Amino acid sequence: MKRRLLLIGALTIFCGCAALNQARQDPIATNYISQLAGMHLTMIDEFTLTSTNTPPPVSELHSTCRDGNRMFRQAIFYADNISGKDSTRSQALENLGEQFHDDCSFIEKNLKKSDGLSRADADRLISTVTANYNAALNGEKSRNGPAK
Amino acid sequence: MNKRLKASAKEFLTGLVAAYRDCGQDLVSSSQRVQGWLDDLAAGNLSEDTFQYLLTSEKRTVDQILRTNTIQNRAAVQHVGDLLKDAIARFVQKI
Repeated sequence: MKRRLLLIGALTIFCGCAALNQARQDPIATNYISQLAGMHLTMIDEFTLTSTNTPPPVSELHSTCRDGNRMFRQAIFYADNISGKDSTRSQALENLGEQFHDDCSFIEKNLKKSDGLSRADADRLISTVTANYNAALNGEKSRNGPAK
Repeated sequence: MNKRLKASAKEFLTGLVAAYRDCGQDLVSSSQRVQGWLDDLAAGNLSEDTFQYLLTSEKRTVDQILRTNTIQNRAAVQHVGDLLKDAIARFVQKI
């Protein structure tokens, strides 16, 4: 009986601490993640070579990547300075930002080599990038309590 | 036993189980993606360079799943994730 009480006590303290340390879901951060996902996935599609789509030149990719990087910086700045800051939120955005940055280089390489991504490669990339954004959104939604 | 304490403990344990289940489903999807790419690679429908790039991207996605998907049980999931990553690293070395 004593053991059970001790276990329950420990669990309660753990849950209490966890609840106190958790940031709440933030609608602005959620919105940032959704907007970044839209921008990122649109970029992949735009630079995919298909029978109906000829990707724009590299200069346009550079412009898209600059704008995208700026959006990521804004989102990370917001996450770093939000009240009830949670480091996992910043980490989630940094992870996505690194993926975006690497995708810019990957697409540029493909543009120079074969005028754009193939549809099959684009679909493969979209599947993992989408899963990454969904995980980040789930992380935001799983934060304790309702949105502020 | 105090009913409130019991409910609190039950809620915690239910959350823990749900966390593992959700995380597990995401990781299964991840392994299925990599398996599909391995099949494409073997069939000559995917270049080695692109496969490497996709694998790096997928590792980042797995990191996202493990580090941010589950806030409440972060430490426990991280531990399981580290074990999984070790297993994946050993598997990749064998390929």
